[in-house]
Amino acid sequence: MWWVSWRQHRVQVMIALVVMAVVALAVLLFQLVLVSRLHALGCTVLTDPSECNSRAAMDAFDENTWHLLRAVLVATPIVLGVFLGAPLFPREFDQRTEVFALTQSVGRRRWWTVKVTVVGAPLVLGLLGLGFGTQWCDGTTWFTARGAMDDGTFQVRSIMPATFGLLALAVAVTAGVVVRSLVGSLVAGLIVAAGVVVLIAFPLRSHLLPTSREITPVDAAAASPTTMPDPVGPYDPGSLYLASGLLDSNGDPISLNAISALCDPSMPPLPEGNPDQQDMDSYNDKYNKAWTQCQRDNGITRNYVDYVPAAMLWPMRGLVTGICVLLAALFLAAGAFRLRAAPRSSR
Amino acid sequence: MTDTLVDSSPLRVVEVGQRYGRKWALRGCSFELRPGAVTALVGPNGAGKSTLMAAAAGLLRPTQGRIEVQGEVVTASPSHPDLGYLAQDKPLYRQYRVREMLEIGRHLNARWDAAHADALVDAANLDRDQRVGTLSGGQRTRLALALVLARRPRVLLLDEPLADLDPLARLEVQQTLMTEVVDTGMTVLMSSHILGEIAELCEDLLVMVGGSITLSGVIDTVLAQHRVLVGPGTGPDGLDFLPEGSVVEVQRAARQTTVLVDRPVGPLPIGWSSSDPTLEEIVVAYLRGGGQGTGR
Amino acid sequence: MIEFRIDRRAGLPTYLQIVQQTRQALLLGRLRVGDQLPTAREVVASTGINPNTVLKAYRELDREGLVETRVGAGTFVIAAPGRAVAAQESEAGEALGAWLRQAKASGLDRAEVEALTKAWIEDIYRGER
Repeated sequence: MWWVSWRQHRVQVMIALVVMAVVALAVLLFQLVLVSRLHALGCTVLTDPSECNSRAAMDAFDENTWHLLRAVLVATPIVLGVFLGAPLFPREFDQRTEVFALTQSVGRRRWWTVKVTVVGAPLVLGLLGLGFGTQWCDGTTWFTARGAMDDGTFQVRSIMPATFGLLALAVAVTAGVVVRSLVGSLVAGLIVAAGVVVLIAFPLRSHLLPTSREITPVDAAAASPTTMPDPVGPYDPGSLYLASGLLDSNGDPISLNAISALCDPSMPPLPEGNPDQQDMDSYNDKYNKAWTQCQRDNGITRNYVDYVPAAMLWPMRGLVTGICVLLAALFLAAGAFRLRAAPRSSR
Repeated sequence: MTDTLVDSSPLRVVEVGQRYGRKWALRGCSFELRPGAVTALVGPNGAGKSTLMAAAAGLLRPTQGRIEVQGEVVTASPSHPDLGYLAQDKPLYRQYRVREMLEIGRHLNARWDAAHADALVDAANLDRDQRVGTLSGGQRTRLALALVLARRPRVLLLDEPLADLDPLARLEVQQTLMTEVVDTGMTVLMSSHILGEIAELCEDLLVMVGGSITLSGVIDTVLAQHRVLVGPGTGPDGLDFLPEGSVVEVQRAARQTTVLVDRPVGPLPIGWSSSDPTLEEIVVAYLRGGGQGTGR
Repeated sequence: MIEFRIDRRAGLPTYLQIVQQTRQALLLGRLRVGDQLPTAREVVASTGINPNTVLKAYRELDREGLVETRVGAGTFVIAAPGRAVAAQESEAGEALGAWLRQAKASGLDRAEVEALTKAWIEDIYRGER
């Protein structure tokens, strides 16, 4: 059975591996170009932000290409998962070859399992390579190393591409079993897989773990530090920024609209007639002082930043992976159930 | 009750029913194949015959009843190792070459007689490098048959095996099949519409109407037992001289009544004569719904 | 070695065609006493008919005393249809030919003659297969 399945799907698997290799190569090339540019500028320790942060160095980092590559890295597991999973069964239903396959010595369950594994194992392994390779490449410069929890970085490093690829594969396989036509399965599989994966990978993952809140007094933020503090909490580029704002006297976040509602009435009126620049400057000064006073009077004296600490990276990865694996199992089970020995009225 | 250690019945179908939505394709279908015989399965076009064979091959689970192959109840795929099945469209992987299909057969089967498969493919003069999709209908049938026979089945189910074949291909497939029967003594069930085919190839007969079997028996016996009686036009009581349950079908015209009975009926009243029906007459009568107690 | 040719469109059952052709071959001297008839497998391989049909034909020939099946060896011719039988057949054939000429002369067409003949055969050979 393994030989037969490999023979059937080897071209597809090869194509997928080539695609992954090409993407990996693109990521590698970007890093090499960046590294050589930085070296040309005289930077030596590329991983230290204070060592290599001149204007020229900032320009050397091509942000647009960087974002494009990130998008490709996010899309790759989804597209490959659907490409490998969706045609798996429609191609058999098309020619009714499942009748041939199931009337030899192979049982339905074995046939099904081997097919999914023959395309699934190379996909997962390849994506693991891609994920860890990306992580290693990213680590070579501080530009690319920071922000482990950021959108566009969290989803493409370490085990995450493999996780999303597995889920996309499971969705697409089930789409193939349910929809049965090749084109239909590809379309349905792509839509559902993309939808499910993106939902989990982006909004859902941010809200899985307990959020930390850092509260600082409003006035303290006005002081400008002479040295950069050691990044900790919300200032750690490895943590995931969620939201920030002001807290009211009860300690609850209060929106700017609400503050406006409170304070607008006590703001100084606009100058009459045709004010000149000096008049406007003095007006703005009075306005700011009045605003700050109003906030103070209403007990709005604290800033907050909600974030998921950098230390939660692996718990987040673990939870997301757990959810994806569970969903993948459910989808595959549904597909297997649909494929059981039940009569189909169309022959 | 005798306990047989080895159940010799190659295929036994017990009260099998199959429902598609609200329609029953099979209902109360029961029969048993005679070991070593080639049995014809005749019936009107529809899901019944194909559904039954697919169920015996483990491709679908009947709504009701059970099927036994060599005494073992058929549950689901894989097919029983002693059972070979060839669907009507002889599905094969069209994009592969002949030699690759043979490889696939070898890998998918525990019991595989590669030498036998090779011999059958050579006898059919198939080019091993040719893609299956480009083979003619007859060649595809012979390849599919070679693949089934390489499993060395004891029971072979063929769904309209000779349909869509040109006369030469048909002859060659018949030769291959019958030679295999001589050599192995296997039991064959084949569905067909063509009575000429049936008379040549089959020893036993099953007629399926409305999803159940209305006639089953050895063809020679069926021919020997049935009679066509022709007599004057009569009323409903005019057939009282016939034994209970012996009437298969009655056709009444103004001045003539024709009756098909399934057993010899002793001395006939004046005006009645008896003759031997052809196989076609018998089968057609049953296909028209005869033999279900509708008589008189 | 005799080769059987099966005419699928003929009304005659297959096994009878084999019996018929064997008898013909014996009459014409193409088969002689001691010759072996083709094995069931050989007949099946060349004609594609059910092996049982061949066995049925050979049993019929055995019943008529023309052949004998020896276990493990094959089926062999043990007697040619006797001269007497041949003579009888040719006598009956002559009488049949004369009657047919008469029927044709009196205006009966082929279909009528066939129907008439069949009805008489049914009557006289009733119950025989």
